[in-house]
Amino acid sequence: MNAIATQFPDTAMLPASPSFVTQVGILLARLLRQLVVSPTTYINLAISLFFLAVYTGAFGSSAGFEKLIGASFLTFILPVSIVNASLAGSVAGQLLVTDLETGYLRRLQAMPISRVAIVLAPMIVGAILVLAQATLVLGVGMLLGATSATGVPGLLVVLGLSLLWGMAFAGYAVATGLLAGNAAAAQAATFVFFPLVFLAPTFMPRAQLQGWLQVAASLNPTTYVLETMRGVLIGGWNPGQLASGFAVIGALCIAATLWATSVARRTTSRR
Amino acid sequence: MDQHHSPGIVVDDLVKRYAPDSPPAVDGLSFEVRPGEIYGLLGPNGSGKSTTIGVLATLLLPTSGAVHVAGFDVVGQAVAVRRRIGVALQETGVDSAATGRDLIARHARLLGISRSEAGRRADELLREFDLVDASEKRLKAYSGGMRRRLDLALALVGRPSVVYLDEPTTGLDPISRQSMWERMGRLRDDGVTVLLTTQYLEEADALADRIGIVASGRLRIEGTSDELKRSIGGDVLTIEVRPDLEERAATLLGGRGEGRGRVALAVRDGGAAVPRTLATLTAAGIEPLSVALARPTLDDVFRHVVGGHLIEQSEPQEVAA
Repeated sequence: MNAIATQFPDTAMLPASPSFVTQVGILLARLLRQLVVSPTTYINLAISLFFLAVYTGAFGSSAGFEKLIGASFLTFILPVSIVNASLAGSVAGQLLVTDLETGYLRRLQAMPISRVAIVLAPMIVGAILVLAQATLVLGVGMLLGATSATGVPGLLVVLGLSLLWGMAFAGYAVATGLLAGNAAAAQAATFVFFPLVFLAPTFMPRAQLQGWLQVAASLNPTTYVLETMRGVLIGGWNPGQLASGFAVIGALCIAATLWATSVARRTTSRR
Repeated sequence: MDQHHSPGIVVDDLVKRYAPDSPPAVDGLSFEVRPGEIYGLLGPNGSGKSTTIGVLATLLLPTSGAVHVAGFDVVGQAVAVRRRIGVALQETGVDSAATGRDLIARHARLLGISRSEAGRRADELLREFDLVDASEKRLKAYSGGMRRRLDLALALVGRPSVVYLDEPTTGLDPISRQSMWERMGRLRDDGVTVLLTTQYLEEADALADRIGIVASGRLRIEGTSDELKRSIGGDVLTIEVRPDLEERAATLLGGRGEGRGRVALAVRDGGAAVPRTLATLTAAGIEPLSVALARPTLDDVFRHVVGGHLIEQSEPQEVAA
């Protein structure tokens, strides 16, 4: 019988450690496979379409409203459904916390791989899932009659924004999940999503909001994501709006990633 | 330290506190594991075994002391240590959505093994650990015994020179345990340095070249199984003679009559005492009917050490061969 563990006698014979990108790729493939076989993934996809149907059903028949916003209601509401899809980014926190709870994280920590790769992989998975949902919602919306004033490039901008938004939400979910230390808490932390969506120009333009809600909306980063998406779908190219939209979501994405990395480093560091 | 001629594991005055004001989980622990040796670390629950393995596996930082694995410092050269160790800890989980083959192959890829070689290594380990039939099943369908075998297989993926096995057979039925023992024994044949913790003293007895018993975070006694057993006293030799000769035999041997012709005597070295005792009886015209030599078990040693007799010693007791 062959020896089962004949060791490499010296350093020269040890296989070279995989690059950081390879490490992330291997961990990413594992998590994607988990998502593909998980029914929750498909429920999340259906929920995004459900929100689109509800919003369109509730407000879509109002001709007066469409005159007010200057576009079809479906096109106006489509970014809200796409932002709703960011809830899927919370899967990042849940995946990481599940690994913490099951002890798989501990197994990875005893291996010669980067701690950052261990955290980054679920965040990218969260962002990919958000992007997949955004693509689905956008595709269904187009089939139902939504339009893009900037054509396909505008749709790509919307998807780019949704990817960054998903990454930010995934970072937030990773940080709060690890701070809370269990998967249920990671799920509960996603409730921050509701004030973010409803204290924003979700159902009508910001100019139409009244009093404190308008102030709250102007402080809410979701507002700028929604307005930038609506800008390219309804109003056409507006470099100033694009710049401010990407600046806000970019800053949010960087802040969430740094926060997640910092919390994850503390959680996974040796003490 | 010369990394190619250094001991497998060197733990020198290791102290580990989880908080500055908490009592130490490990309190000045020192021991060495020689290359290619299986070292059994025994101790009651909470004695510091798992904390020690946590430090050795680079999962915990020592509060003080020096720890080297395969010649590398676990604090300053953690990555080098991780490249040379295989770990099967009690609390390490698996990805239950993965199949056994996927998990082993992924593990290999993360260790830098090429994709094709990773697949070959997975097949090799699945064969070795009798998991071929379950190789494409998801791990949530694995039994406890299969998971423990998979744990050991995962620990060996990177052909480590040092392996930590933290209670590897806990919860296994006797047949599965025996089978795991055979596999662990083969690690020694392969020249792998193994640190084994176990609740089963017979496991350490059967597998470990040397054994250290820890209590309250300190090493209390260390040596081979035989040395440890001898350390708590000699053997008990019981001779059976005709009942009417019992008293005479007891007087002659300096032993104690136990009735029905049996005479018991404590001897320092049973192996040497048996022929000498038989010769004395024969010379006196007493024919021995049976001879029984009983040795202390590791269980006796463990209870003796952990139970308090040696617990007050300030220095670990090194048992001479």
